[in-house]
Amino acid sequence: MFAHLNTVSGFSLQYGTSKVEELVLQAKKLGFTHLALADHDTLAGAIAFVTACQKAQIQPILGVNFKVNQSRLVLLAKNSLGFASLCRLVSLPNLTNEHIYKEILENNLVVLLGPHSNFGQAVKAKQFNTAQEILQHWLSLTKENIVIELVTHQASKNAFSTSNAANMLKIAKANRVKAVLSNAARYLTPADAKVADVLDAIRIKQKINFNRVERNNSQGYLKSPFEMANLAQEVASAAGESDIASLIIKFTETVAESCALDPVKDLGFGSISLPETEVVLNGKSHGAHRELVAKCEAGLASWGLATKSQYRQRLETELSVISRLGFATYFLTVAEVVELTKKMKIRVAARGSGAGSLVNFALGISGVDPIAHGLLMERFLSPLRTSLPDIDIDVESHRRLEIYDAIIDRFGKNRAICLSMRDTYRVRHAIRDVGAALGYPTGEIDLFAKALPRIKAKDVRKALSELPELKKSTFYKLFTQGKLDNYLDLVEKLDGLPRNLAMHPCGVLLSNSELLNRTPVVESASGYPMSEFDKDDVETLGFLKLDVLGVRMQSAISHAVSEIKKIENKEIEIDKVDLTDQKTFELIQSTKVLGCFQIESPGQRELIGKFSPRFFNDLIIDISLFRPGPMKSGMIEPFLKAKDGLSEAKYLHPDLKPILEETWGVVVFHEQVIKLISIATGCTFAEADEKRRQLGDFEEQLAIRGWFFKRALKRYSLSVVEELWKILESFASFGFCKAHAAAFALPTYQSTWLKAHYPAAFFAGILTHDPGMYPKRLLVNDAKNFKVKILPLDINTSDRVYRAETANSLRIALSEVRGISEDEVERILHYRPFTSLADFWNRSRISRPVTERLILAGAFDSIYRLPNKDLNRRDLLLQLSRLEHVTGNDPAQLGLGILLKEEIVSHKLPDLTLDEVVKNEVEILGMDLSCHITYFYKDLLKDLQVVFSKDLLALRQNTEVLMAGVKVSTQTPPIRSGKRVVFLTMDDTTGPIDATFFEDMQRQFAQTVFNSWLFLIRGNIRRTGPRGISLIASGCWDLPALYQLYKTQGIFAIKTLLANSPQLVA
Amino acid sequence: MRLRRSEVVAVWLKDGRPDRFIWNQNRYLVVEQISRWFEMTPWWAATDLAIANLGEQEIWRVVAKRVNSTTGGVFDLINFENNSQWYLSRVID
Repeated sequence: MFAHLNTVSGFSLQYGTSKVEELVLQAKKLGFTHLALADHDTLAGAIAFVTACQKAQIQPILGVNFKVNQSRLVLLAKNSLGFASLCRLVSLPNLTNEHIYKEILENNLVVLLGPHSNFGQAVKAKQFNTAQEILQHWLSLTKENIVIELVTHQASKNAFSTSNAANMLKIAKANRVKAVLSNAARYLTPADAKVADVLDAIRIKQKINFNRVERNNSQGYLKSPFEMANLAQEVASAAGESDIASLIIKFTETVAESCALDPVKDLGFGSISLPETEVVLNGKSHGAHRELVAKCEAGLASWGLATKSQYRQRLETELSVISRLGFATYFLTVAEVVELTKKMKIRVAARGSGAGSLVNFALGISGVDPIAHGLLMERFLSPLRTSLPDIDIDVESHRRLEIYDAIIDRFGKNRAICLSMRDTYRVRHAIRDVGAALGYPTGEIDLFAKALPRIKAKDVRKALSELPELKKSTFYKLFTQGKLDNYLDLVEKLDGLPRNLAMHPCGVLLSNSELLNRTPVVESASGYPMSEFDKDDVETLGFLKLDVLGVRMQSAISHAVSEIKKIENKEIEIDKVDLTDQKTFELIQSTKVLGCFQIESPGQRELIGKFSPRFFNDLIIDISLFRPGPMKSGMIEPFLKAKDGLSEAKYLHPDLKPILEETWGVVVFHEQVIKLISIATGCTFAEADEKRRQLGDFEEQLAIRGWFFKRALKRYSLSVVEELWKILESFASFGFCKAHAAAFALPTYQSTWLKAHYPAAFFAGILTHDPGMYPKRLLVNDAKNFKVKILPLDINTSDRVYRAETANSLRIALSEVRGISEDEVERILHYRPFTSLADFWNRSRISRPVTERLILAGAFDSIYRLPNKDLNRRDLLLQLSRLEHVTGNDPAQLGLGILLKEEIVSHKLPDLTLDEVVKNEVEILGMDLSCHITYFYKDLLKDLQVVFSKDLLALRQNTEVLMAGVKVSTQTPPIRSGKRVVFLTMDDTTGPIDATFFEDMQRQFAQTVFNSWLFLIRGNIRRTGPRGISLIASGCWDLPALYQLYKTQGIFAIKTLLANSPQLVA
Repeated sequence: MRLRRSEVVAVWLKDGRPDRFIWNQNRYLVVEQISRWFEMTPWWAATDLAIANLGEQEIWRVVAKRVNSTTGGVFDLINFENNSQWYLSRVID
């Protein structure tokens, strides 16, 4: 049977038009048994392709279409050694023919000399003697592996014409070289050919243009066996050899069969390859297991737990599972990375299910005691699963690359590389790229792209027809007139195609010295060696993948702790802080947790307002509940009712009480599901976890049902088993891994603890590292509400970062000044103290605009004791222009000496008004420090009797109020009913205001909500808990626009406007 | 633009190949097929959606003779993918 030996996928970036999975499915549909993927200069799609082939039961063939000099040729791997050759060739930055000659001499590759090879190009140019010489050279290297690839797209007189293929066939026959047929397929069906034209245009960054379109016609698709047989006949007949058509097909088949790869034997699917134990142990000779045991013992001892029987038992169980699976080296490798990190004084903590393992706790990989929090090892590491477990570690984000360097340095470039990820087409890029290819005006495309939410490209029509804020746009009109059909068709077709390979934000890959023979490596934009494979591929191949996640909160915590040391001279061991601190829980219950990890979002503040967590375990529950699944399923309300004692917690059977007690009878955690299955059926936790995983799949669920009933009925009555099954069925997919939540709860608690005890240090941390969702101006306001004084920018005191100066004051960082470079900050720090502006100008050499901004932001006020009756910032600005004038015209700076001594002259100018000061602050530092922006609308707000955030708690449910503020964030989270809800958070200096816009309000106000910055909002008060409060919005207006109207037409016009807009239907 | 200036002709096929056609009110018989190839249409440049949707052009270059006459020549007959209509694009007498 014929097989396509030369096809490309979208991994041939800006060239191939199809996703590998679609390619394989199309081949299956056409009845092929073999299929090759030969992308241009890359193997990035190889593993995804082979995986798709496995599923479709197609024999995979892997190759690469290499560009060397001006020609292209396809090399196909015959076996694992051939694949290693391909990996090495792809990894070379400057590929030459000599590299290829060297690899093909090993006899593990098949060379296809096609129309674009140096041989094919000579044939096309009708230089038959040259073609003959080139062919002879290839044959002299390895006769058995050279085949001539015939391609005809039935084009007129060019490389892809039947006559050219016929000429190649004649030469093949004359030299007794095998000729195979391919279709150099670039798209799946003729209908996709347009996509190829668009990609050509995107690649060369021009609009589609006849001279630059690569294809001749739409014949380069994945043709059927029948169509290919016809082509073979056409080429053979044109060569005057009509009887050898079947031989061409036969040769093609032979090559396909000799290159079919076995995913397990040839590529190592499902194997595990860790760094060599000697490497991990630094040459120590005793075994990995002995080393692991010793390390765990030492770790437990450091927590004072080494003699507790519960811990000893658990450690033994875990170690025996690890030993049986042969994973000791894996744990030692991760522990080694964590140790390297700690040695550099970088905070590190495991996240995810890894926190369930005592071994991880003992090795210092995780900071959560799994026994104290009822976490299970089986959720993380199961004797029933032989794939490597997944450990993700969180580190300080601003120091993540230092850890990469240390890992690569420790294990070597041949064992440790970074992971890549595919940036794929989504709607905005697709709109931009297709629009540019079609030659539409850049400005309009840009508007269109920005107006769309970040959705899949294939959902573009759905968004246009459904989103109210788009309905007023020009595109919507064109769309309804059908004028965008062609455009949107192409946008949809780009959906999910890879755009480029980027360095994965956290993945590091570790393996043994065979690594570079099993993965292609390219250099990332930042210069790191990077596998072309992504995380799924790497998992398939069994490499050790470690996620080193940069977490800004870890940086912020680290900064805060060092600030405490500085101002209080106190060493805080934040990782060992008391988890039952009263002050911390009071702060959590107050919901004033802006800046705290995980719980600062409006939704979370609402939830903790209702929930009032009192213990660390409550925090774990809270984090587990605040997820789309539970929020959508409506399990929160019954949970809170039971918790508050409004309804009694129900337990189906006394046996279940110990499992469900911590969550008042509601299943919240995966761990609880595992325990329930285990107790009902008598199976092990490991087995129960397998069943739990299968519960997510509907068909498997049915199978488990039988198993569950059969076993559970031996222990419990039918009614209990039926009820229990109902719970498992409905909650299994919503549950959350408790270990994961516990690992998250730790930085949540730590950050809140810091806010409760050391607010100045806490705010210095979060303002420096900006870990959360809120703009700094809101956090600065919050700091003021926590009695932290914000000290102004000061040229002699402000540091690179935010610094706590006392327990309740905090200094703005120099790096906040707009446009200041790191280099300039360094120079200021190096040359200070400065005694005058002239001194500063003379020594620091900071640019004029930045100096001006420093003056306007008040950085020189302390030197001149501003404001005073003689001088103000305007005088400094005038002095600056004199300085620039003198130094600018006088390279020897003779005049500067005079200026340096000279007092600044007062020009008796009026000082800046408050209005101007705040405007400067916002422009230069991005925040309003001297007063809140809404202050400038105070007369209007007073006339409208606008209510402030701090006063909301005193108002009754459902009261209609007007509020004003600055936008903090908008969110459109998934919601139970499936209807879209828009959450708007704003602030008015006294605290945040959360307003909810339901669908009926969106048509009229969504555009304002998304596009304005300062708002007047009308809404009704909704109390969500003892401290929780939000607004159901019934109106939203742009405040500056209203103010304009107020100033020109008075308060009556405003009131009329408000009265005429739709009200809430009660 | 490689879309050829063309006239509508009526073509009769035999075994999937052009066999006879009527042009300029004269009947022609195909006596030899020289070549046949496919060409794309510049779909992006078409102001008329109808043209953009015609799809690929299949071009048959044939030698044809006028019925009951000695005159004839080389003709390019075009068939569009999504259109049963035939066009005559070029004549070399």
